[in-house]
Amino acid sequence: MRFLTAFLLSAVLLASGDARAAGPQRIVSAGGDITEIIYQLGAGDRVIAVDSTSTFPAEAAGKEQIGYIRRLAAEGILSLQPDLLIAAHDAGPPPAVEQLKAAGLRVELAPKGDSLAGVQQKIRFVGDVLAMPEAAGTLAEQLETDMQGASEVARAVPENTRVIFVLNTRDGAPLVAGAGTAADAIIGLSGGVNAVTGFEGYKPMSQEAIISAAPDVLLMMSQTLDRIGGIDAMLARPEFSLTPAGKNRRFVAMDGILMLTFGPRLPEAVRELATALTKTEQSD
Amino acid sequence: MAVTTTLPRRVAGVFGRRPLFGALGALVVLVAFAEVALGPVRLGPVDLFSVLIGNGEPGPTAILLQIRLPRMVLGLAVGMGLALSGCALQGVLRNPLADPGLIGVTAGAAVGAVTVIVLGNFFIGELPAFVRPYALPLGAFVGSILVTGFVFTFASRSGGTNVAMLILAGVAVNAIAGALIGAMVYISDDQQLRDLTFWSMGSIASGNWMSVAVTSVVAVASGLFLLRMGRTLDLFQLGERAAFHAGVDIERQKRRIALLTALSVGAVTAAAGPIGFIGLVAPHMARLIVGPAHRHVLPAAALIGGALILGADLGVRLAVPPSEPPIGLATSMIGGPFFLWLLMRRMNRGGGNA
Amino acid sequence: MLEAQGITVSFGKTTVLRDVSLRVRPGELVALCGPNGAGKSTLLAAMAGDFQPERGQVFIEGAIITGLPPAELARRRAVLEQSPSLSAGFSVGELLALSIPRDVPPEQADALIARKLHSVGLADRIGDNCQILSGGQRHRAHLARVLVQLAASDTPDTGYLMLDEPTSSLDIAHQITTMRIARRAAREGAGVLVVLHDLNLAAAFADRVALMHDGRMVADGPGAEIFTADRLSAIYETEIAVEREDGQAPRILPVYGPDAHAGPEA
Repeated sequence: MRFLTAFLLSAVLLASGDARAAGPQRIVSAGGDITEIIYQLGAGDRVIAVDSTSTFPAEAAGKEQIGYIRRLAAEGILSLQPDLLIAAHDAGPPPAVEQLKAAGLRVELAPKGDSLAGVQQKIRFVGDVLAMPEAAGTLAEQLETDMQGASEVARAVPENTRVIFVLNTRDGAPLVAGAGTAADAIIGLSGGVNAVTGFEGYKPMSQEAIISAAPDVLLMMSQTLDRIGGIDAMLARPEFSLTPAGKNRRFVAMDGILMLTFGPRLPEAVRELATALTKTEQSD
Repeated sequence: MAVTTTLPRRVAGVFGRRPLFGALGALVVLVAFAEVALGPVRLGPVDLFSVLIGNGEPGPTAILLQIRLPRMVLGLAVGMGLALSGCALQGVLRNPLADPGLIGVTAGAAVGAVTVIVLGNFFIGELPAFVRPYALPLGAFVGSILVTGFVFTFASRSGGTNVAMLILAGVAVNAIAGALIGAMVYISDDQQLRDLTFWSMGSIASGNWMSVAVTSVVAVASGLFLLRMGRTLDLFQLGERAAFHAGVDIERQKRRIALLTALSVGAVTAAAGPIGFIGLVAPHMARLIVGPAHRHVLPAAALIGGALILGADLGVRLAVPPSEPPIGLATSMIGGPFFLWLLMRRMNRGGGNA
Repeated sequence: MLEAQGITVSFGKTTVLRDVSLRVRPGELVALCGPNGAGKSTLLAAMAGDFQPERGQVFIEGAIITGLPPAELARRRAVLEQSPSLSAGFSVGELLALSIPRDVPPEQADALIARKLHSVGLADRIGDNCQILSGGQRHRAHLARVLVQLAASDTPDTGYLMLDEPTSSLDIAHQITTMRIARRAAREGAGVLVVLHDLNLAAAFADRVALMHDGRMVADGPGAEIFTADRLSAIYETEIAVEREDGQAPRILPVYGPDAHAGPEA
């Protein structure tokens, strides 16, 4: 209880703007979006450790590794003697988070947000926690401006360009992105239409359903495409070769982290995807 | 199960079994102490001592009392519960390869846990507030009890509990559980899927004194009953009919073992997830050390189980700090090769009972 | 007294025992004989309390046998199965110790185990793993275990010993030893029921022979009286001769017929 009180007290002090000192100095960051934001805010040198989803920028990937964001180890994090754990909304498991708080560590979980407003919210949140609200405000505004530019590009995408995001084709039915996924959101922001309707989340989709969804463009993470042996291996599968996308060889392979992170590089991601969707001819 | 017991017997013949148990006990104490003393956060003897006398700094106090100590207690309970259950099942089924997974305990727990993870949103709100944090272990516990109950009821329909039926029903129930889990996985969202995956790898980091206490009490209580069943389990080695002739109420004892196993494995799996191989390997190691008599094998297996879990946990905590691989990885790494070695011995000995 | 009263047992549609009665009194060795499938082992199992017959009852000292708890039953009767098994690597001594209840003091238990092992001729194998014994030795070890069970009960002289074909895996010398052990147990006060295929052993050692055929009890009395060539030939459906000499047990000899070897030159 003592720690909790201490924690609440410090939170109150920070919120009241009394902590003019540069804020937390030994930060453990979990979540690719959060880490990117911290670096964009210029506080990267205060990060001492990151989770396995924080691979951008490259300096972040070189920090101490605390493992997967849903499986944090309380004592491992404490051994780094951090003064802050700042993490995406889905950090866990809950007992580990409770243990960290009980040990007196300040733990801040960012709000969820797969949209422009969501990313801005995350930026302001990180700014507040790191005691650099001005920088965060600037970054959030910059993001909005950049987004406007990106949206211009997205408007050039031909109407009703149906995109299917394929996460994996490893076994059986391909795993594709339904509604409510980050992939669905980025497709929408980039001027496309998710060809997959009728379910939420990443689910296996039957071959015939994919064919009848008639996607115009195949969207994949470049990492996945490399792993399964390139676009030709992909198009050897009937469920893809028989779609408009397959017939016209229209596909987009994008860096997965950039595409799905919903961090400060969102405009960049939208611009890249929208540009790719605008081209009607594939030039690989 | 007929491990060559010449070595233990020779040792036991010369010294009696007391030193063997003394050594096992010392091993457990040593590993338990290491579990508390070692970790990614370096704590010196001074820290340990001052926390011990209630005078520690807040940081070390929290690490010791909120993280390491509950882990140690849970680890011992988990190791003991799994080892004793495995031992009792191997004994009563006369099958050296039996482990609690065989009769559906683990599958049931998994179905319960998965249900709470995936469908929890629909009913957790209905539960009283103080129960909500424990919905997952509770679900796993209820699942394991229900499924084990079903398997045993099914196998005893014709009056006597038929061991072959039991094992086949276990296989069928495992398949059904697999299908149910598959269905849940299908309707789960991304985050639930990841929770599911990690739950299934096991962890004793649950670290909450409340759940540690409940688990330990259930596991220790059923463990104490199991520990007293040495003679009964020995008599089961003669076959069920001969065991009955020698005075064992076989139906009652089988039901009893089923209940105790389901309780203790259910509680343990609820708190720590499914942890493989301990229930299989600890009894075998115990037999190698103290010989085949269950009154020796049971306590030895309990000690070995505790030591194995804590050893595995130490391993995963110290391997790649500050991150922590799942404990199931370590137990499988110990258990898998040991199991293969056991099979090889069995083959070299001409296919007799291992 | 151990008594089966008019018991009938069916497995599915097959009736294995039809209205069979048999008494075994303390101090008496009863051999249960008859062709394969006559129902001997089933009768022994019913009289051991393994199951409740469809009709009739088995009484042990006046009590319905299936009404007794297994532990109580184990104090009153001990059973050696036809093919006893053991799936743990126990030593011979540990095997026998299985029959010792918890409340027996260790020295007393050790003495008892040593005595019974000696009586089956395995005194020097007490520390050996059962799995290195020969089939016959293992069977004798189990016989010793059953003897220990009866002897360790609080009333060692009044129990019942039930042996299902105890001689089938033994050489001739050990067959005789085993029957002597059974007979000694009877002389010491136990009621002994032995399923036997060897009619000569039955005639030589049993006080009474119960002869079964096709689920029925066809004769019950001293071997010298009930073993007649006609009766045996009829129920075994092969020609059997019985030779009698005064003062000795009858000798039962199968007549092999013309297609058997007549001698070394055949």
